[in-house]
Amino acid sequence: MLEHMVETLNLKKTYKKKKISVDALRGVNLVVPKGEVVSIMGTSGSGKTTLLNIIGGVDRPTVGEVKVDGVDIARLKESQLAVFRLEKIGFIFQFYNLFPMLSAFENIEFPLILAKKSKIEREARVWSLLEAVGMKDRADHRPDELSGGEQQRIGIARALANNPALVLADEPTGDLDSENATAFMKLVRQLNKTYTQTFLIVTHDPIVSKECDKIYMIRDGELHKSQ
Amino acid sequence: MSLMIMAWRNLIRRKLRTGLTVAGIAVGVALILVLLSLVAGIDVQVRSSIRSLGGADITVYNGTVTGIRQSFLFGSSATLNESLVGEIGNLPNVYSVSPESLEVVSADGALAPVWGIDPQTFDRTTGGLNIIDGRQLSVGNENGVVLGKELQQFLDLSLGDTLLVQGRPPHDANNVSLTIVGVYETGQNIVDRGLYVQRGVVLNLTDSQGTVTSILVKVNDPNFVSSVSDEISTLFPETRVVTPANIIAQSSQLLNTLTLFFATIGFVALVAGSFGVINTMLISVFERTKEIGTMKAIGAKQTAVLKMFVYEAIAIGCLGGVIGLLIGGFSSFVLSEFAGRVLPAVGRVGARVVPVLTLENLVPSFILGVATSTLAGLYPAWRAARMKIVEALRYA
Repeated sequence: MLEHMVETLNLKKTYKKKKISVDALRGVNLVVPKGEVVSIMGTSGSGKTTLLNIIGGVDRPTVGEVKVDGVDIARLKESQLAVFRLEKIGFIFQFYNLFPMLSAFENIEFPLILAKKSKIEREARVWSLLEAVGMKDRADHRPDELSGGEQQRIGIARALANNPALVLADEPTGDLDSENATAFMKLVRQLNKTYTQTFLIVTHDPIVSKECDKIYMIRDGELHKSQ
Repeated sequence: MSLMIMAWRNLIRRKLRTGLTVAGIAVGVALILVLLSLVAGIDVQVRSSIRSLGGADITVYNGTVTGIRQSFLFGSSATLNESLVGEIGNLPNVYSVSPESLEVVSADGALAPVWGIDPQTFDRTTGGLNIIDGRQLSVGNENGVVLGKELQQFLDLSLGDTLLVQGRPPHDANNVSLTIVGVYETGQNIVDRGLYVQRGVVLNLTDSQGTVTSILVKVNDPNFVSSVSDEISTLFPETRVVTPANIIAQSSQLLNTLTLFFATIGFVALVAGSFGVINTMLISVFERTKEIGTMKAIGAKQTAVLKMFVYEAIAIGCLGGVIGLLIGGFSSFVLSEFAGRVLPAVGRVGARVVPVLTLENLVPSFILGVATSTLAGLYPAWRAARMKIVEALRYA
């Protein structure tokens, strides 16, 4: 049981807007084993972001079960979900979503402050992550002083700050050129090896998917195993 | 702690907008400080006036004109018949009475109020003037004068110097040379800019023999003050009777009204400022929708988001408070200087309200500013904290 990082059972999500209801997910059964890098591919509107949001605890399913690292997160209260996200999940965003008024160092430090880590612990952790993503010499730069590829490296480092069990990435290379996208995936594989984090990546970029251990396809809210 | 750092950096990221919002709070704080310090200044003035009424338990004026002010400005038009002094002195429970004649004269060219007194009964009735240099007026020394401290400084005269006192039209032909024997201080501006002489001197200067401006009364026991003053009012309907008790009651009522009035103005200004804070913070929340979504996705609890925005509001309040205190402190002095010139003063002898800036009005002004800003920030902060992550992240 515990060898699975993510397990969903008959997951359904229906959005109701005015009188129209849209089925974003129609009974998704997904298994992500621990320590693997898994991608979910699909066109826009296929429901892949919705699936990722539910697994990350920022959205709730209409029906079904979601277990992440053995915890049924659909039952958690809002405040418990915040703790769950802080401790278990790392988010990587398409547009990096770094805090513009914080330096690279402070962006990575931010989740550690939320987790109430001591200053000594925080500094050691941030420097080792900056080292791991090769951005040590950029620590004092603000996001607007960094290139897209560099920002995404900081984004990865921030996601890994609290050593989460699961890293979720939503179109992480969507705003990067192919060179940076390749470098990004290389970094993911390397980090997956050193820190043994599980990665779940939503993408439609083949550069990303070809580096993954498993690929799922999602179409019209239904999941298909591709490989 | 980093939430505070984020809050602070967000404020300086939008300097102009933050500055304008801070100005809104600063204006409110400044206004409240000016008003509180001026009311405190008036309070000090009134208290010292009451103290300088001297030891007399009761002061009797002519009641057919509207007030002290008239009798002071127009002198002889508001006097009482001298015979009243003896009649009041004969009433039961009266310990002593002393006549006083008040006029405005020219002393070495400066307009000044002069009090003509009878030294012997004056001392017995009031306890005498607070002499800080030289001595009191004494019986028999007809040409002695004691000067108020401020008048003495203004004219730059010392003990033993001669002072030329001249009546005002139509009595400007009358004049007399007096020798300075002492200097007094009461703490009340207008009295300290005047002089005390033998009563006969004032009567001669203004050709007003047989009259008094006021009669000072001391009773045998403080408990008799109200019964004796009632009796004087009844027996001599042409008089107006003033006791420290009724002055205190009147002036504190006036001060309460003033304070309430001013507090309302200041409060309205602060409320206006608080709308600025709400507006700025709401715009800030909308602008940073995506950041808020990211913060929450990363694991920030609602309280963390709430705190960050409340810190911003507190920072706006503190900045506005400090700037408001500076502006308010400065303008209260400018205002009182200005008011001192505009208010009808008797020549150079104007009563000036000196604003009182103490912790007692600085601290409440500051706290009101910070509290208003913080309260105004609560709603935007709550909106930010309650934002739905999925929708916030989708926001471009």
